[in-house]
Amino acid sequence: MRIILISHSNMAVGMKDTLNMIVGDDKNIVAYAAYINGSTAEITKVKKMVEESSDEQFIILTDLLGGSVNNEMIQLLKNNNNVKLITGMNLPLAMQLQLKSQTVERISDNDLKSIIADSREALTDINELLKEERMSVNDQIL
Amino acid sequence: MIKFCRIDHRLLHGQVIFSWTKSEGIERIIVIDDMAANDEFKKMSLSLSKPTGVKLNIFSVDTAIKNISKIKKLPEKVMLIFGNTHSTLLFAKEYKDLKQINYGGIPEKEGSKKFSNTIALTDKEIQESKELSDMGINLYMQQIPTTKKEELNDKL
Repeated sequence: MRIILISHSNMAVGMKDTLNMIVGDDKNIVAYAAYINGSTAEITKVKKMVEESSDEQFIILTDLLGGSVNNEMIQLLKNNNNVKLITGMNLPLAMQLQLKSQTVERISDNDLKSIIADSREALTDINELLKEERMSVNDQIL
Repeated sequence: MIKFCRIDHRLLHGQVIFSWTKSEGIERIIVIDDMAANDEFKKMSLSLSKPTGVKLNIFSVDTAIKNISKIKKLPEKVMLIFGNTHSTLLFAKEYKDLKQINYGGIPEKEGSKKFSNTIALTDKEIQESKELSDMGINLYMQQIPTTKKEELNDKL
């Protein structure tokens, strides 16, 4: 399986760079910066890649629902049932997918669902969390 | 049982939480660092970043040493994280059978010598590392499980 990160400009490429630092390089993850100087070559490349390997699972992460990158990727869902498309990518999502993909051939719908739920929860107001979390003293006892 | 032991001035952070915890199957993390243990706010922020399902302790070096017999009996796969070579040496002398220490992050300081991108040691830290080495402990530099492992013992 392959994970494709694609965004308007460099977000996806930066995301991949950060993944490399935290969890390590992984050749099954590719990233594309679309529309820099009006370039649509990256969009075409991704479409071609997916259409050429119809047996392989692709998980595509895009930046924004309603954005043109995601609008373009939606087209792929018409004829390719090997594609899962998720928009609104964040680092926890990309990271969990990378780690999961190293242990399985295919990410199941259920796994995907729970990874998305976790990543959504990872968006956190730390000020609020600190108010709730007094140091859990229980953990301090061996 | 102690599965993994690391020196990292940043203590718990992304590389530790998401890479090492996972690759080593860690079930409990014990942070051994006087500064962190004596700073309630720091402790709270570290406890917020712990991975779900993993237990966390934050001990001063003294407290950790007092608890050595308990630590030895822990059934879980344990990761020890020290903030610096000094705490590591104090603990290692009492614990006696540490086998390996991962040098993950020690920042550059005035007069320190660079051993890798993320490891810079002062004369004192080199001395402390030599003492660890003389105890027969394998010292190696490695950022994350998928990056290159570099022996440190013979470079000191």
